[in-house]
Amino acid sequence: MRVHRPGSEAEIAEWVTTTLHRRSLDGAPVVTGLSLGRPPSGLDSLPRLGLSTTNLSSMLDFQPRDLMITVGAGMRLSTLARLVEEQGLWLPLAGMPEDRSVGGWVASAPAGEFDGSFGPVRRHVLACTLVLWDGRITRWGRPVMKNVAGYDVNKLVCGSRARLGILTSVTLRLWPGPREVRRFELSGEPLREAAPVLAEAPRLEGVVWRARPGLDQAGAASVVLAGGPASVSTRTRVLHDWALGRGITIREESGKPTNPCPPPEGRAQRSGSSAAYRITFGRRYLTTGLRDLDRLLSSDGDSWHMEVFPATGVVRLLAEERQAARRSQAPAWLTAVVEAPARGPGYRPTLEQPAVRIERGGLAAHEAARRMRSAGSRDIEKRWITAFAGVEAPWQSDYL
Amino acid sequence: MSSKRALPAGLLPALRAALHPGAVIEDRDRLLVYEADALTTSSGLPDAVVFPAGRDELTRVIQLLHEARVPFVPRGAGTGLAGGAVADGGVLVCTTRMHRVLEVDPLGRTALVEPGALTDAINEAAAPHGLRYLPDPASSAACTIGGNVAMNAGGPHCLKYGVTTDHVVALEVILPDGTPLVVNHGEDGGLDLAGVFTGSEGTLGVISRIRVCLAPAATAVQAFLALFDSVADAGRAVSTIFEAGVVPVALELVDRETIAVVEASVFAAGLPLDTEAALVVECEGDPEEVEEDLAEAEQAALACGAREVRRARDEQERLAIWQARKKAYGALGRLAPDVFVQDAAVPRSALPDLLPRFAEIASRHGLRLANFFHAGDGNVHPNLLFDRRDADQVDRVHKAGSEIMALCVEAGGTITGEHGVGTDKVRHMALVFGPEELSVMRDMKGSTDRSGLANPGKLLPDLPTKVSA
Repeated sequence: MRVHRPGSEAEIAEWVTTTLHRRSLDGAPVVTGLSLGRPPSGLDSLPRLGLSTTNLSSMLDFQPRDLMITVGAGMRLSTLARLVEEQGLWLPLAGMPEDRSVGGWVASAPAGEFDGSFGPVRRHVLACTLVLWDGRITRWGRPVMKNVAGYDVNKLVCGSRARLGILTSVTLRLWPGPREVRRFELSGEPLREAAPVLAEAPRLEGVVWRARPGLDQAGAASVVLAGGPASVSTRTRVLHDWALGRGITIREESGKPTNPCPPPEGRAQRSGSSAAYRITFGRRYLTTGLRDLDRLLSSDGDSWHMEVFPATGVVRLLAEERQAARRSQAPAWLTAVVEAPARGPGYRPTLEQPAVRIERGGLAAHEAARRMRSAGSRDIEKRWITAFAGVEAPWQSDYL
Repeated sequence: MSSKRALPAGLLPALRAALHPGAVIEDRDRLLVYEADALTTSSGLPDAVVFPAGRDELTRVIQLLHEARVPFVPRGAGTGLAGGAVADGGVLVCTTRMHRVLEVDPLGRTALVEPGALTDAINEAAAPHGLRYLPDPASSAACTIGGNVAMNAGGPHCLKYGVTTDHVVALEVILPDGTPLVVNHGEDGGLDLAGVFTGSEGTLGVISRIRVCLAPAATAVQAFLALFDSVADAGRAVSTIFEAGVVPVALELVDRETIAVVEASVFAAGLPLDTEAALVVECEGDPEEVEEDLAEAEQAALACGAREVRRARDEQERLAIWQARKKAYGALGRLAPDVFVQDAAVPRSALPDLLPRFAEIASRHGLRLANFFHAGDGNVHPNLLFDRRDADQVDRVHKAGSEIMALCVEAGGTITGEHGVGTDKVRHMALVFGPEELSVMRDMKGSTDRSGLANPGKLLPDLPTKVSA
């Protein structure tokens, strides 16, 4: 796969209108931030073109007083975190390893441990620049906290991968750095049933529960308290008492949690590329959903890591990519979860919520996910993607 | 661009047959009630108004209108400030009879509601479970959740918790061709379609059901007033409070003109009349947190030249402060028959510079200005007072309004922070979007509403679509 690394929006627009449109591709161009060193399985064999935004990595505008920063889509998350922290500010978001790009993070919109308190990725994107697949350079949003002018395209961009265009810059909402941040690791038998137990916990700014389903492990949780010193200290006492009363072991992690939080030890992503499925059960179905998952995964040959965000009812399942790549379709357990008859039609992406998003993984898995959506939403999606692409793109792009 | 014309024969009988008795209005006298929303300077008369009593009736109405190719305008309580719920011909589809809170799910912390439910009604239904719906538009006692979602409404307490879009879990919309569609934020691996339907002002269809997030009630809440001798100092204090590491739940600014009218009204809260600007700062959380956040914020206000900070001594006093802020709009009626409610958002740090310039623009046009707004979000409401019977005043109001919009955009801001575009801001859209972006949005609209029936003339300026390839 040949990878092009343009240094400006204009160069990207030119690449799109010349190189890309001249070629008749039977596969998608691949847009990426930093991870092209290890293209996702199934892609390297296809006659594809690669576009990397690595060279669009500058800080474009930083207004600490206004709690906003604009950066190139190719900037590393770790670089962004350092810039923000130097000004005493916070981007309370986690979910991607630090060696990913800002663009990749916005385009895949992973769930994170702070989503319950500070909101998901979609709340943090105030403006962006998108080079459309017909070469038009478009700018969406303004550097302000509230904006209802026109359609809210920033929301559409979050999690869209590169289906609408190539993200070249992003303006993000920042938060004042909390005066005190403490992180604790919880472990112990009572955490086996993470959702109900953690739902009773004292108020936490960040919470993620990790386990390997089907392996009869008790699981462990990582929690963050953030705020004024007196409040954090009082709540630390409450948390200790709460844990003690339930036979849960609590240990404080040393050092300030970095920003975004580093992937905890043992997380599959650390070892290289991975596959990730996100299941949004919502808080309502989290407990039963986790039980189903545990049962279904125990019959799956592969080894999965699970992250649960009790505040939002989201579960992320992570596996080594080589496992996921073997699969020619979405794993049977996934389909079983989505179509669980116990929850009837409510379990499908309806007003009742639970739904599956495939964050990373082979193309077959993405195609399977597409089939799980309702025909109606696929139809509107196709119409809107065409509105952006200008032409009905013969390829399907993806930010992987 | 009036779409006024006679309705096709057979449509009204078909609508009547599809709806409960009395759910179709067509007499001119009764239609007059619906000639405007809360933007009273803009008006239009629908050919008929219909009141579907449930989603099946609503779906049927939209199907009939689509078959007859008759444009429609969705409307909740008509409290919108952008002229978005006004029909110039066609059929006004009122959701006020779809006002039920269908379900409160305490475990999932969500509620399933019909679009015509009052925003406050969701809170009433959630309260017994110790839950609440966070966005709080000032009109929450009168406005509907469907209208809130259509306009992506804000409110004073959206500062910390986010605006309507951040509290919508999923939506069911009836597309302009009468097809129902459930959309979410892309949890199903698709695009965040709900993120676009929210704030689309009825131009992509009508919302038929909404699942909203609920949040636990706060254990402690406290507020203080900071009084300033200069508006610019108050503006500066806004940024400084955030720099102190505090995110209040609400941070509002009220200026001298507003204080004078509110204090003369039944909503008087004891604000000193010689104050140039007052900040209302509210924090909530657990008691320690509220205490230390308020202390930090008070210090920040004093450091910016506040002559006094005054903490609400009890709940009654806190509520009085909020009444003063929320009822300011109505109280302005003491000064002039009409208020042109302006809405724009700017980077917070631009406030100290912009506030005196708003005053300068108003005085140059011989108009009175009253500011009361969501300072913490940089969401300004520089309201112009006037009498619409005086054509010259109306003309000056429009000129001053346009200058204020241009000034806000120049400062990096946007033409509407929470009220929406409607018809009022259509002419300003080109200030914040170029031809490429407008063309993409027109194509989104055009491909969703192929017959151009859903709320025509709103949100998007009338520009030729791009030449298709």
